[in-house]
Parts: sequence; structure tokens; C-alpha cells
Amino acid sequence: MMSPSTDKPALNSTVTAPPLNHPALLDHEDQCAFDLPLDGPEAKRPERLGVKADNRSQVFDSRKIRPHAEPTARLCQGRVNDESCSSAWLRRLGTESKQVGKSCVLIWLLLCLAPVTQVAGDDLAELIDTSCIHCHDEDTETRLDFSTLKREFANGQAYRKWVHVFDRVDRGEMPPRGEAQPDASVREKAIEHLKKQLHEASLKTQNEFGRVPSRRLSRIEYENTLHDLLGIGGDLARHLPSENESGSFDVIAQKQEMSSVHIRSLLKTADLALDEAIQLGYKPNMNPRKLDYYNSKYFQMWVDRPVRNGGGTVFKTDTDIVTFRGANYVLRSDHNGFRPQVAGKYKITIKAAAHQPTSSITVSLKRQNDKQGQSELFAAWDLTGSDYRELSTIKYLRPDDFFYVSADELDPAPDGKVIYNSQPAEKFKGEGVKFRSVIIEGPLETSWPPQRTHQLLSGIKWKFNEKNILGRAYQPQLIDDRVKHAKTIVKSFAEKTWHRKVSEVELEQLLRLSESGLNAKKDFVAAVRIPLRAMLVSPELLFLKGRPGQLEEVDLARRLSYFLWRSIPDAELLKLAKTNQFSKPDILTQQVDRMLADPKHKRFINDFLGQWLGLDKIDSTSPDTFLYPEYDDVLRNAMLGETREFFNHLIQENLSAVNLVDADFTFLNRRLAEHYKIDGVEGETMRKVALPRGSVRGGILSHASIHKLTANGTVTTPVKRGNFVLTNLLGLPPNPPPPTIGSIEPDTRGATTIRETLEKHKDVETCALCHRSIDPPGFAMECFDPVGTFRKRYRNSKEVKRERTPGLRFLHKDYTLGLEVDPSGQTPDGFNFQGIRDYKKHLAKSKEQIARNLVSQLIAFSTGAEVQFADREVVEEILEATKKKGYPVRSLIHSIVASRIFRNR
Amino acid sequence: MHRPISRRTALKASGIAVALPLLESMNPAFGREFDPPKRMVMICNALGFHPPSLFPQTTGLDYENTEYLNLIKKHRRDFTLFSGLSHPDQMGKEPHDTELTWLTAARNPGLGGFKNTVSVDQVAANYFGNATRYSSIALSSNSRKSQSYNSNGVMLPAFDRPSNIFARLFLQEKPREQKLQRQQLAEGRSILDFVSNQRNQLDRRASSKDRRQLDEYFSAIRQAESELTESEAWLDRPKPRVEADSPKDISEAADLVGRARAILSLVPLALQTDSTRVITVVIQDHHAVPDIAGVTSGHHQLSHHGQDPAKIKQLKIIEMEILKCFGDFLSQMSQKKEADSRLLDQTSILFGSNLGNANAHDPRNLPIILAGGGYDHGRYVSFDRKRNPPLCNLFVNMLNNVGVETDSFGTSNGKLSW
Repeated sequence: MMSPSTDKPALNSTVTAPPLNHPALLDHEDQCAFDLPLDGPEAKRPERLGVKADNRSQVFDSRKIRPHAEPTARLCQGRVNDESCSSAWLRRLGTESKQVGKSCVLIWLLLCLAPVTQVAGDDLAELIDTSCIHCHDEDTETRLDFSTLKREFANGQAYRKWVHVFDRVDRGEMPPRGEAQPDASVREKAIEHLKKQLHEASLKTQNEFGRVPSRRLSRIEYENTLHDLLGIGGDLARHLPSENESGSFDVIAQKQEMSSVHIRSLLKTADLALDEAIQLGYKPNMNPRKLDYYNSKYFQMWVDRPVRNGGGTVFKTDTDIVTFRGANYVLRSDHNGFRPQVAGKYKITIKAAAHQPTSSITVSLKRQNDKQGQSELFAAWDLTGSDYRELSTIKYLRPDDFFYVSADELDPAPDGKVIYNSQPAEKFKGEGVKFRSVIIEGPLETSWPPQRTHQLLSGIKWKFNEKNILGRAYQPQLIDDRVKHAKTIVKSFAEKTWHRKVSEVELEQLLRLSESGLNAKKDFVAAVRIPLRAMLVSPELLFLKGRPGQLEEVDLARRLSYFLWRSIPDAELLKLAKTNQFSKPDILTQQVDRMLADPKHKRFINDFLGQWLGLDKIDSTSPDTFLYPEYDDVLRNAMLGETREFFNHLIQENLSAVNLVDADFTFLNRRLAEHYKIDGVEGETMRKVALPRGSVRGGILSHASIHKLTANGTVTTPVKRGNFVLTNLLGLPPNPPPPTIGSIEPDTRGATTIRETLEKHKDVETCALCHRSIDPPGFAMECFDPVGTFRKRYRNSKEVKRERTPGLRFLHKDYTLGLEVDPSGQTPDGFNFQGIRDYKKHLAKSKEQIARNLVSQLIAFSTGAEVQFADREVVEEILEATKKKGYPVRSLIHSIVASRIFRNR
Repeated sequence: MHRPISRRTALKASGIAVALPLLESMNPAFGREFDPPKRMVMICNALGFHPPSLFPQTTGLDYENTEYLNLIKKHRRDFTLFSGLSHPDQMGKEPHDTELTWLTAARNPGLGGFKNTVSVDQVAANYFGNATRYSSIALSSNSRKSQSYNSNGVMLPAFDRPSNIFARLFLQEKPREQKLQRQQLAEGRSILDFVSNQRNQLDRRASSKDRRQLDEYFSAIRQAESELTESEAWLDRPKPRVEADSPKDISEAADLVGRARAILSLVPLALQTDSTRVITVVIQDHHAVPDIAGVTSGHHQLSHHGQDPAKIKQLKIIEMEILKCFGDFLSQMSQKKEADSRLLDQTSILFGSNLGNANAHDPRNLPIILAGGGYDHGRYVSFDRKRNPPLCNLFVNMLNNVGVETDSFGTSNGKLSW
């Protein structure tokens, strides 16, 4: 190792670090030299292998790696470094930096002033000399070369490298097993020294520049903000570009995107939102009214039509209509006499009973939209016995929406016949649903024009005018000067939107937007609408920001509110901020409790779990309808409900984070309980259920939602599930596989099991190094199929008929049972488990790491930046303080909010 | 270097467009005295093609027609089939994340730190600039998701309703509608103007660390402003007339093939009228059960056939329908003539998928067909299946073909030669 080899390819010998202080490297994105993030869990996640496959990059090729006790350790390490140190600048070399400017000069100057620590003789030197340098010298084929890596902790690139050095040594991964190990004291001394240096460097940057750059609202937050500001509802996020798939939360400032596509969609979304807020059309019928299927000609048409023409699946009794189908075009509200005239909240009440029930039946309400093909499950209820149930729900509907009632979970007739071969419908003996009535109330407004219109266009009286000028039935009655009116409206909305007083100058600028409309005595509403729209796309609304150091209270109120409500702060939070009450710790605690008691906290639960656990992606694969006929939207919603209610319960009852892995309770409704084969749960409402002794359920690893989203289409793969446990639950993501390794080709014919396929992970040491950690959790979870059913044998699709019987489930379980599932395995620390129960018990011992990961995730989600080196100290303090009680989740949230990480920019 | 046209130029140019004589049944933008421009079309069938049914055993000019190739055999001289091409490092977070990168080649989609990069069609679109009403058009059979990404790596939304795109391209607004549109554009611009002045307000409050975020925001504002200005300029220019009826939108998600067909049929019209020179098309629907005789499961489910012969049989029915669509599209492109050549010869068409094998979500060995564009076609070219050359090499060829002078794109390491 002492003599440099001469035949080494050039591309491997050079690039270990970019030229320091190169101006092109110091601007743009997260690569600003003083931007030191990416050192939390995020940085441990290796990304982008060999970012540029050209000669600028060192492409790892195992053949070129020097003989070593554990070649793959070096391979993987190389990749870690690759991302953290090289990909960023390589990426940047590819993109022309347009903004090398003033700030760059400043940074460059600062860099020159940065102190350079002594290379030799410090507490690090001994460790490096004795244990590191013989592999990581100028001849290294890894990305780490201690002979050129300077102790410049204020330099972003060097800093990131040192953080990795710290982590690898601290976790005992370096020097690798099989190499001479350093003296404990030498190691300790070096670690302490490095920790101190890195902490100080990180803290200094935080103090000077703030921990987090301004972040923009995510599309969901923007939607919530519009809802709360304007008193509207509905799906607005779909008009905005989807968020960057960067592998972390969409609120992480470093990863957020902005382009003219965003700006134009924001303009459009704001416009649509204002359209819904300003309702000046004819007063709609708001009285309760019947959706009269019984007397509808459209419905009658389907009653009369023969089955071959799509009819014959419905009939009428003396009082009811009866349907034998699920998704049913026959029952769409618009063709049967109802479509919402205006956007707003509607209450829909149905009275229905099971028809010829032999088991539980689900009656549901689904929304469909002219422009969006897919229907959305609004609500689903259980029907049992023959009693009628009156069921209602309140939903936001738009004029382009319609809904339909539907019957789900229907069993065929006792003789095995289905509605299509058992005509007429009256004589059919299978399960159905009979509807007595469907009543619609709404829009649920207390006045017309609605309250939200009055509030937005404050101070204006409205007069009904038959003539319907400009598409409006109500015209403004201006008692004052038009400009004065406009000013009142704009001022009040500006203060509400920006949470501050607005100066006369600003008001003037805003009103200038209305000028031509106001002066020319044109349409007042259209004129005054322009500045409102401008405020809705203004940077002050779109960005969460603040000065470095301690946040001003109003910025703290916004951060808090966007954390737990995903939207603007309410009057109480703002009032407290304006009187500087948040400096009192108990006020902050009280407010967090108040916010968690408000229904708006559900947005936090949904958004946080949606991204942290990936629940948002539950629909990214669809289970095979023949192999898994039990899966439908009703079950899907119950699956999501379980995980959300469970996590919410941990917060509300302040229960230990270890419940995430193993709990003796869960949340179920009848449908999900049947799916889990747990008796005694009735009705559609999710509720807490104590699990029977010896149950495989309990903890999120046993939630069907997690099984669904970690399944690969129609099969399960232990690799994906193991990766979920390591990455999402423990926050210790494994390295991605080498680029040449493909995924396993699914085979559902039943000749081999996935476990047999994965055997080769054991045999090849390169694979084994990572897979001895990745595979075991996945093996334990093999007892759950892609839709979360507990299984002992695999389902095979071999030679199934694949014939459809629409609307009827459980008729043909169109699969055969195949080989047995083997859920046993051995964890890397040598623990042998027989199945999921053993495994969960073992995993629960890692409760500190589980809590650490949860705290880190919550910090990232609430502040918009991953955990940085200086934050580690805070995370450990929080863990220490909550350890005794087993890391109760609400306490974790309280501690985070009280910490300097949250209170400082 | 191509420069975007100003409003004035656009107005001047409009006179020419109107004066052109009618040729065929259409109103093409180019007569015999003009050199017709080069165009680029990329069509992706996001769930791939069952490889054994597509790829022949023999390569070169004499390759045998496979089950799938039989469906487009009459165009045999107008396309080249490639195997063994792919983008490197496509192991993403979610198995279908390669949809994000088919035209960009950004690495490891969805994994930590992922940021998409500009797509190849947008490089061409930027080159053409505002020479046409739309610098590019993104189309999709079933959603607003496209594969076109601007230079910030942001997805450009796709049109999925044929009637909507037809109206935008060919239906002249009534004066009242035009006035309204003009008003809206003006309102948008004055709002953006106001917002860009907010900067002074903000900078005082923002730290230096903020500047990147805010810079990006304000440059996006400026970009949006200029886009609105361009749209306004095009408002004054009459739209080309075509003797075709506005296509009907198909609301049934299950009619995947009908939707794909309707969307594809707009492509020749848009190109020949020079409404745009760059079009991307995505054909996909993950959820619906395509409404084709013999198909009873969802397209996506079937793509995970797990080697089950019953599923493979159904999958092939769907894929064959899509290939027929593509064949008909090639027919339309070769029937349209301009300046003595076929529209097809002026248009480089890429047809293929981001998945080489959807059953395993394998992003290597992609099915790629290059058609039209004046290339020397007729062969099946097979590259090393173990060490795929970058698909971006072919993208470089395509960029050069439309006139972009570049020797690299994305992960390319040269031009593709075959």
C-alpha cells in the first residue's frame, strides 16, 4: 500500500473531493458551502450511485477494489461517500449555475477566513495513522483519502465527509471486522474530538444563517390554507404540480422545487378558490329534498331493461328500490334528479336495509366527477339483519360532482347463482341492498350569499337582482366610495393572510391592481378580486421564513400551526404571538395540547403518516382481483383508518413509541376485524380493540396497510418489507443494491417460494453483508399476504379461470393454495425467531432507536430540515428525558416544540 | 442560436400562415417553397411489452417478425427496433418511478436527494422556442402526468382530454372569449408584476440562506410573466383550420385503447399545422381493466403476470391493441405529405417503455422503436443485454436530427451508432 500503483486507471485515482472553494461549487441549492444539512438520517441514506457515469466520477467496480477482508464494506462505504460528497457537486457541474453572484463572493471571503485546524498532532491523528490511513491514503480506491481531507469543518464538503467518518467509526463499522482494531482510548479520544469539532461547526452555521432556509408550503398545505382562509373545501391540490419525489418529506426546503409551472398553477388554483369563495349566483334550493330513485324515469329504464342490455340488476318493492350490484351507473345522482347547483357542504342521508342477508353487507356512498374518472368512497356503513338504518354524512360537493349509493360485499344466492343468471331480479335469492330513501340537504349555508362571501368581501351589502348581470344574481350595494370599499376588503384580507398590519403604501400597491376596474366604474367584484388573488400567490403566504436565531413569535406560531394543522394559525395562536406569550413554556405546551384536540390535527396525522410510512402510496399497486378478491375500497379505507387511529391514540393517550412495534391493542371495525379473523367487532366505526392473547396483530408491522404498501403488486417481497423496517421504522436505511442487480422476477405459479429465491443472498458475501440485516424482518412478515391477510400457505394463480362476476365478491376464490410460508429467520445479532411474534418482541428491544427515528422524523417534518449534527445533542436530550416513561409520543412532540431546534430558525 | 420570437414578429408571421393555400384536406403550415421543419415525438407505454412476444431471435435486416412485430410489419422499412438500451441507475424508490425518468435519465428516481432533470423533448422544445403556438405538448391517455420535465426538473402537466387540446389548437375563440382570455392574461401579468415587487419587502426580512429559495421563486415569476406575454401574442394569430371534427372525450377509464387512439390521432394534426414540433405521449392506466374482449384483469395486474400463462395471454391482448394503435399512427404519419416528403420523414418518433420487464419492474433492456425522421430503417439492432449502452446516446441522435447541436444529453457517452 505504500507505493502507488502505476497502472491505475486515471478515473479512479483523482476524484475524491471537488476542488475546494471553487466558485461554481459555492452557490446554488444545498451545496452552498455553509449549508451543512444532509447529515441526519438523510445523509445516511445513500443516494444516486455514481452520479455521473462519465470520467468525472469514480464508478465503483468491485474488480478494482483492493483485496480486503470485507470488500463489500468498502464498496458500500464508497457509495455512502459518493452521495454525500460527490454527487452534489457533480450534479452541479452538470447544471450551469446562474446565480454566482454577490453571495458567492461573500461566502468565498468567509471561507478564506475559516480557521484551518492542524493536520497532524490533534486527537484524530493517532487513530487515522494507526487504523485508517493504510487504506484511505492517496492510493485509495474508496472515496476517502485522509491525506487530502483537511480539518476544515466550516467547509461544506469536508464537513460532510467528516460526519460520515464519525458515524462509521462511532457505529463500529470502521475499521471493518477482520482489520486490526484501534486502542479503545485512541478511538474514544478521536471520536470525542471529532464530535466536538463537528458540533461546533454545525452550531455556528445554524446560529449565523439559521438551520432552515425559507420553505414553501407543500401543495397539501396550500390547499388547507385556502380552505381555512376562504371557508371553502374540495380538492385543490390536484391543480398544483406534484411534489418532488426526493425520498423525504415534501416540506424539506432543500428539496422543494419552484418553476413557472408552479407559478401558473398557483395563479389558477387561487382563481378557482376565489370562485368558490365568492358565490353570487341565484340562491340555490337549500331545503331537504329527496333523491327520488323510486319515481325516476331513468331508474325505471334499468328496471325494465333486460339483463343483456345492462338492466335487470335492480327492482322495486312497494316501498323500496333494491340493487344487487356494487358500482352502479344505474344509481348515479345526476341522472336521477340531483346535481349540486353550487359548491358547498351537503348532508346526504340514506335509509337502507340489507336484502336477503346471509352475512354482513356494506352500503356505501361514492362520489364521481365529470373530469376525474375514478370514484371516491365517501362513506361506508354495515347493514346486518333486516332493520333499516338511517345513515348520514356531510361532504363537500362541486357542480361537476355527482354521487351514487352502492352495495358492496354481496354474497351470491345459496344455490350459487348470481344476478346475471337468475332473472328476474325479484326472484333472485342472493344478497342485495334495499333503499327506502335518500335525502339531500344543502348547501349547508346560514345565509345567501353564503357567510364566506360576506366575510371575504367585508362591508358590502348585496342586493338581489332578477336580471342576472355578469352571471350574478346579487349585486353589490355600494354605500360608500368604491375605492374605500375596496380598501376595506383588501386591508382585512391582507391582515388575515399575512398575519400583520399592512402599511398604507402596501395597501396602495395592492389597490393599484384594481385601479382600472374601480375607476372606470366597471365590475366592482372583478376589480377587487385581483388584489385578493395576488395575495394568495404572494411570497409572504407561500413561504415560511424568519430571521436566523430565535424565531419571532408570529413565525413560531406559523411553524407550530403548519406542523400540527398543516395550515394558517388561528386567532388564538396569533393573539398569543402578538403578546409574546410563547416565551412561557407552559403556554406552548397548552397550545400544543389544544391543537392536538382540534379536529384539524387529523391533517397532521394523515400527512405525517402518509409520508413517513408511505401510506400516501397505498394505491401505487393494485392487488390481483382473482388472487385477493377480499380487497376493495372499503377495506382499503379501514386499513388506513387502523394505522391513523392507532398513531393518533399513541399521541392522545401519550403512550410509548414502542407500541409502534408491538402493542396489545389496535383499531378495527367489523370489516377489518373479519379480515383479521378477530371476533366480536360490530359496525363500521373504527374503535380500540384489545387483541386476544397470542394474536399476530399489534404494532404497525402487523397492519394490513403496511403489508399492502410493502407488497410488490401481487406478491410480497421480504426485501421490500425488510427495507421498510430498517428505513422507515428504525431510520437505518441499508445501502441500495449495486446497479447491476435487478429485482426478483415474481413467479406465482407456486413452484418455488420467494425464500428459496432469496437463498442466494446468503451464499454471495457481497449480498449477504446487507441482506443479513434486510431480509429477516421481511421473512417474519411473510406470514402476511399483499392485502394483510394472515397466511400459512401461499396463494397460487396457476390455472385459475379468471372469469369476472362484477359486483360479487367471494364467489370464486380463484386461486389454489400452494407452498407453505416460512416466517422464521435469524437476525444479524444471532436471535432466532419462529415468526412475527418472536420477531416483534426482539425488535421492541430497539425502542430507543425507534424513538430516535420518530423524533428525527418529527423534527424534519415540523421544521423543514433533516436533523443536523448540532441537533443530535437535542435529540439525545429528548430521548434521555423521556426514556423512563418509555418515550411516550405526546411527550416527544412537546419536547420537540420546546427545543431550540423548533424555536430557532 | 434560436431566439424566441417577440410579439411583433409573431404578428407579422401570422399574415403568412393565413395566406397559405389549402393542401390535401388540411391547412398545413408549410407549402412547397418552405423547408418543412423537423419534429420529435416520444410515446411511452408505461407498462412495457412482454419481451418474448416483441423481440426477434435474429438481428439485422432479415429479422423475423414476431407476434408483436407482425402488427406493424407494413411499416418495417420505417422503423428500427432496438434492444439492450437503458438508462443507468434506475433502481428507484417505488417500482414505477422509472416513469419519471424515461425522458430525463436522472438517476435513482425517488430515492433520497432525487431531483429530476430536463427531459430530452424539452431540450428540443427550448431550441424551437416560440416558433410555434406551443413549444411542446404533453399528452397522456389517462392522467395529467407527463414525462416532460422543464429545466428545473418540474413535470409539465399533460393534456388527457382530446377535445380540450383540439380546441386549444384549432378552434378559434369567439371575440368575446378572446377578450376574456386577454383580460385574464393581463390580470395574471399584473399580479405577477405586483408579486415581483414584493421582493424588496422580503429581502429585508430574509437571511442570506433564503436567497436560493426566493431567487428561484422570483425567477419563476419572471418566467411565468414572459410565458403569459407569449400566450398573449399568440392570441392575435389565427389558429389553423383543419377539416377534422373535434374528437369526443372518452370518460370510461377502462377504454384505454380508445383513449390512446384519440390522443395519438391529434399528433399528426398538431405537427402538420405546425402548432408544435415536440410532443410526448404517455399511454398508461394502472387501475382500470381495459375494455377489450378477453381481458378481465387490470393492465397493471396483468403486467405482474408471475409467469402465469392465463395472465400473459390477457396481457398480450392489451399490448397488441396498443401496438395496433401505434401502427395506425405510423400510417397517418406517412399519409400526410408536405413539400414532397412524408410527415413521417420529418418526425423522429420514439416508441417504447420505461420498463424492460414489468413483471420484475426491470428498467434495463428497454423495448425501443425509432421510427421516421429520415433515418435508415428496417433493422433489429440488439445491444449487449448485460451491459446496456445508455439510451441517452439515442437521444443525442434524435436531438441532432431536429437540429439541436449537442454531443451529449443526460447519461450519454456518445452518439448511438448502429
